[in-house]
Amino acid sequence: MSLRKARSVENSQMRAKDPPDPTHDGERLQRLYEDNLHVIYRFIYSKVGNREEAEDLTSQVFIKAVRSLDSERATASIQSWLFQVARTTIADHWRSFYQLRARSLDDLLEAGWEGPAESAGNPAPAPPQDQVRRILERLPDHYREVLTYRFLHNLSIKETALRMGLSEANVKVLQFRALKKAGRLELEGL
Amino acid sequence: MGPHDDEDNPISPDEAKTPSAETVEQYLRLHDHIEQLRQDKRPPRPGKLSPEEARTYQAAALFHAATPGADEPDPEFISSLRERLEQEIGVSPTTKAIRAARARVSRRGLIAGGLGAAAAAAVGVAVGNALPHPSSPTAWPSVLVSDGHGFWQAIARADEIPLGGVKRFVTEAVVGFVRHTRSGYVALSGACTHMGCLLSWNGDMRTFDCPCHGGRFTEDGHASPDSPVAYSPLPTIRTKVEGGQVWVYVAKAQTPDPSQDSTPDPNSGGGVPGYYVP
Repeated sequence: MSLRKARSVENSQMRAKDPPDPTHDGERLQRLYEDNLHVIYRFIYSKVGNREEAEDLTSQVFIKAVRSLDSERATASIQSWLFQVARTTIADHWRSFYQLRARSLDDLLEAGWEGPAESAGNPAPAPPQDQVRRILERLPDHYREVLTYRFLHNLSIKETALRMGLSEANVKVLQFRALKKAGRLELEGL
Repeated sequence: MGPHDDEDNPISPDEAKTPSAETVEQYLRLHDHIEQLRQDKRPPRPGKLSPEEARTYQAAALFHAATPGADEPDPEFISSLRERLEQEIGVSPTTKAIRAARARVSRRGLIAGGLGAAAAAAVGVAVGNALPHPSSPTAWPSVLVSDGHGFWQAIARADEIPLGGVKRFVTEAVVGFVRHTRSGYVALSGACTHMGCLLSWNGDMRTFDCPCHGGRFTEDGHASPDSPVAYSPLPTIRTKVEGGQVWVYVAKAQTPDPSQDSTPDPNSGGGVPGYYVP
């Protein structure tokens, strides 16, 4: 479903069931922010993997959101709309970060990197822990092992090398290949 | 060491067959990238990447996000972004006062959290002479708003808080948390009983944590064993469920009462403990 189409569907749903809301700006902001900050931050974090960028992009999303805050938007719809804003913001970020041509980014997005969460009814993507678990299940043992030690147990290269009986150099090669394979699986939507 | 001295170590039979055009530089570049993520820092741009490489980097971000605790937003970030958004929309007169109270508290939190001793001195100035009297039983009521002194306000749909769930709410004058427990909905004041900083819910530990001085409260509002000081328990807020909504019994925002002492209460930074009186 295209972005524009998704939005117009949401809007028509909303107008039907949500009469103009007399609550003032502060309360609307409150609802927008309190209910969504954590989920949007975590979503963005799962895409960029570090606090500095996650904070920047989360701020951008919420600032865009309050500038076009629509009093008629229902709570559920606010969230799926925020996810759309977040996706666009992340896509812009990637475009510059990876210096991808717009075309290849579109390919990525179309191929489902963004996950199947586009439907308005289910705006929240699975938490990264769940996504990671699903990917790990599909990886060969040694890939699963290196990624589990490095990321889920947060071990250093050295500690991982010790546990796996490999050299540190091997661990770096292995984590590269494991993440490459993980990226491919994620793209295939598992 | 070098990433290529691995001939004696068949990483996997599959890998041997893969005619890989991988380079040592690629391994090291990804490795450096991951180390930046582990420090929660913005990684340098990796330069032009093929779509496949970009996916590899995105997988690194996803896996790092799954590291326990990594994707928890910083309480200071949460409060500073909230202030920024409030300025952005230019809040109404009613909310202005709440904004001021909240800003006061969160600024205090930022100062105190960031600068150690100098900040402690500054906080002492800002809130009076202050280290309040956390053990004083009169400083913090056990029930935030007693009967006849407040009104009922709906703060959430009952079905929106699952069993075990915790939701923060903000009314005109009170910030609190409502929990859905086996025995019903239970609400607590969301202000630390130390100096009134706003607590945040820590879902992993199931505690309320104070950004200012590390105060920590268990989900039922008592000082946690790992709180630096056993502060007074969080005052409770009465709740009821009616019409599918959870209601809390809270105070109205008040205009300053000239009959009251004009000196701000040092325990609360200006007002009745636990809620904000503009």
